[in-house]
Amino acid sequence: MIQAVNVTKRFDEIVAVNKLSAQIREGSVFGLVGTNGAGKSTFLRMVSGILKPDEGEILLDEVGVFETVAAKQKFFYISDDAYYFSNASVKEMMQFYALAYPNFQKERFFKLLKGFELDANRKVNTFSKGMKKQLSILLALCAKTDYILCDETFDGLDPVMRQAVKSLFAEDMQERNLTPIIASHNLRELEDICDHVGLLHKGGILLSKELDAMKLDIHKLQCVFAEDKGEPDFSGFSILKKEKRGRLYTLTVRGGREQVKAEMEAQQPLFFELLPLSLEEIFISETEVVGYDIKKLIF
Amino acid sequence: MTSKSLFFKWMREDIRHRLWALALSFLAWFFIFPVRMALIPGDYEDFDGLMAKQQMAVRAEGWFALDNGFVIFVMLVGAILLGASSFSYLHSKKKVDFYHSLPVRRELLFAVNFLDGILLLFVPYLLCALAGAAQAMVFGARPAILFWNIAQSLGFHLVYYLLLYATVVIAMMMTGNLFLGLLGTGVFFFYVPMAAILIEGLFSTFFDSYVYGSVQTGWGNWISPVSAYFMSLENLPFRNVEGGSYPILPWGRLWMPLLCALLLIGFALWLYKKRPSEAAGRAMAFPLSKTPIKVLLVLLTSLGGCLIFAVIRDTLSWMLFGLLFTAVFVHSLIEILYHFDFRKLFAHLGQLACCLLVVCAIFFAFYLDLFGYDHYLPKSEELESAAISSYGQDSWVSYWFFQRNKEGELEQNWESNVYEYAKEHMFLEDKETALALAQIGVENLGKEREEEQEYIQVRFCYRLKSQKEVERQYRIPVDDAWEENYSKLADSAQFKDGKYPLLQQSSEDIYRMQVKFHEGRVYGKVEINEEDIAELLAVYQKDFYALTVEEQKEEVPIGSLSYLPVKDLGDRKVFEREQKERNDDWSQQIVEGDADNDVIPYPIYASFQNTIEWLKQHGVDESAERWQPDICRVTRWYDEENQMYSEPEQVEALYEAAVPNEYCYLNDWMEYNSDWEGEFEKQGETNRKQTYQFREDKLPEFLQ
Repeated sequence: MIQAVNVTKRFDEIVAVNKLSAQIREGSVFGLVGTNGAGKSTFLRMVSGILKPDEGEILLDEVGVFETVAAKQKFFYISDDAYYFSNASVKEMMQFYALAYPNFQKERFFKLLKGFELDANRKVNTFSKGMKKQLSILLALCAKTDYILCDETFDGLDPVMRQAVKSLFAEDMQERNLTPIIASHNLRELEDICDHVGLLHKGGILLSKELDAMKLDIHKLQCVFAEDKGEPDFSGFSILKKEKRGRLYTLTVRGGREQVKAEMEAQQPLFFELLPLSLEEIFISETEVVGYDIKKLIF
Repeated sequence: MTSKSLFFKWMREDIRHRLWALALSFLAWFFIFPVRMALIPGDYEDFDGLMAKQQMAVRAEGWFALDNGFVIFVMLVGAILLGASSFSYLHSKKKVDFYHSLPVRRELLFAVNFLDGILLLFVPYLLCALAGAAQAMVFGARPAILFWNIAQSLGFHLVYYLLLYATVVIAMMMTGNLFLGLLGTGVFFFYVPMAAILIEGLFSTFFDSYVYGSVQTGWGNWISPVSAYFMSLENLPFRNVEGGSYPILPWGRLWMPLLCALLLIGFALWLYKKRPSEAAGRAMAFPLSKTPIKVLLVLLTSLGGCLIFAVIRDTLSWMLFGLLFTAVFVHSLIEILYHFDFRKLFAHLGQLACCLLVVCAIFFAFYLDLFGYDHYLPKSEELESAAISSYGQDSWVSYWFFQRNKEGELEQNWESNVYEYAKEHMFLEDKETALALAQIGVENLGKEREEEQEYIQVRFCYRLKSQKEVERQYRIPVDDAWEENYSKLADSAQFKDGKYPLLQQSSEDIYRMQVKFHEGRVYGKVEINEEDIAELLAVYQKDFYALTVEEQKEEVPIGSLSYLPVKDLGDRKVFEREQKERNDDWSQQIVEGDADNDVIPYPIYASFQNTIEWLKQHGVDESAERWQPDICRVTRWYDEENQMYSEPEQVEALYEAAVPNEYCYLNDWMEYNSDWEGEFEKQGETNRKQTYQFREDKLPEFLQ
């Protein structure tokens, strides 16, 4: 488990991460979402041991990460703009990484290269941005580390590749308990892969929850009442948001599904329906409660 | 994988990514050693014989010695290139993220990059040097000397390379981009030597009594790795072998630079561990270092700017302009560089104001001589001894000598001069007279030069009882007070010991001695036999010690004793043979005695009775012949008016006043007429012509 305990990081006058505390359990996909400048990359760079926190600490299984080789061997960090040696081929980069990560799976790497149609002898500096990202991911997977830290890695991939990578992650998660930590500013991107999502804003965590738990606990309810009913009584609901268009009410409510259903049936509407919420809608709802206009924060 | 095997594998990977550096290194050493060796035989194509072969071999052997300028150049350039390339990744965020995210300790990264920067230069160096040595052995170079020279060079250059290289690495660590890293390298290399030059400049500009080099800033050159490198090559002892001589490396001299290099390496490692990864791309990696570096640079450059304007226009307003403008300019420039933003040129105005205050304080301390430097005069009881020296008096004295260079060629050594010699050999005990003379100089400070008044520049060295040495120089008017005090000192044995090298000369280092007398006595030079040199020298020294200033005011030299000093002469026969075998005219002249310009003359006065008697006993009788001319032609130099005298009385009177030119300059105390010079002839003899000056006190009236 990775623990960040009151971590702060400043760059001159700018506080990039401000007293951030978080827990990342192994075996689940952790999504880190936030706008540009929220502190996602900074946080990931601290977790991977590149940056030293100015305050607080980052622990892996109770051991500090910074300058600890044993801890760092469990991480593979994929930067949003990865560096490759000039004039190095794919094979040469693999050999370099194999030096640093003793458990590197060379055979699997070559197999995956074929699957992704990347030439092992081709110079990396001739690759497109997307191909470089693919290469980063393959190197990360084959390094066989416990954690992969992806900094906006999926953003450069086409939809087909995105699915392929997600499958590979899922496969490794099942086989060896891999824990990917994915930072992105795209909620839709994270929705179908993350188990746990944390929202970063101005260096702090606004929200950090299990996705399923979030979805179980919050619902969108659309209902219509008879004209002569008058104003319905929604006092039995824990309403996060309410909209009315004509006779159609759209409510975002907190609570268990059955509980909400029962409560609505008791109101005897003409029609009601419980709809799934997207991650984006959940976040908007949750954060508006605490006073943030989430539309300004994410897109 | 063990950490050791990982270490070597990382090294291999790093070298693979720096093959360009390896290629450059090989290229440089290839041309310096194998190609150079291949060129040497071509220089001797037109010569044959054993001597030519020996010279070829000696030349090749010398090429591998540790004072090879090309090797030094490559070391300097290599240190900068490899120091920058080894750690330039710290200046790129992408690269820093890449390396520092890997599960590798920073110590390993540092060690790999640092060590590779040494191997990339020294492995090709060694391989090419050995290849060159093999070629040199083919045309006769001696293996023992070759490998000894290579071993010395390797040790010497490795230590200084470490010093240079570690300094460059520290500059890279402390900065966040390559440009500033290179600027930082320049600062580390040259700041202290420049500061030393600046201090010299301040002292020499503002203090009239300052003696150049007397402020002990020489130590500053040892703080800069570049100047330490060059200075360590000075004053190397030489080892003489047959045919040549080579510098010997006193290995004990390497301990200090090696220790400093190791300390710098340790410091560089510490910096690396402390260096924040986010410093990549910034100007300075450690914010705390910004202000001290800026202040030091502003101080140095602003005072330098002041001195530049002092040279252009020696006025207070222009000096202040140079001082303040440079301070503001440099401060602003550094702020721009620190922030990469032109709009920041007036950032930290408070710091700028402090810098301006400090530089003004330093400037006025010098300008107003607030510490009383110029008027310093030690008390007599503080003084252990003193030395005084001047080029203006007895300017005929020479301080050079011959010595062999490493190719065995004779060359003149001009290192010493009147000032250095006096400082080393003169220990005046008459402190009161020395201080009285100095007092005249102090009183004359700041005064305008008077027309018609002659002045002399005199340097004083005070050796205090506290073991401190203080030097000053003054412009002293040549008047009775000067003459009285100077004459008193000049007559003393201590003064002469520090003024005339012949009095300290050992006969073993004199290759040749000859005497000449005033035309009219014995004409032409007479060589003194080798076995007589020591005796004549002792006799002459005794006479010279007895000579007084008063005598020199009354007498002119009647002859000269000349000698040819050769340091570490050794066996004369061997020396002669070596010089004769050399294929150059100069060496032949030295041996055969034709080089009149390459001997040092000393005067022989009529009062040198011991010398004259000794010479008489050895067949050189100056009184044996008196040449009587019967014609005198005089010329006035400024309008070339000339006259001829043939009346015997007139010719006699003129001849009585005449002194051959070559003896005039051997006596500064005698006053000579500045208008006329003459030539004397005897009818029927056309080969005795010499130019004469006339003594002012004996100049005939008809010529005045």
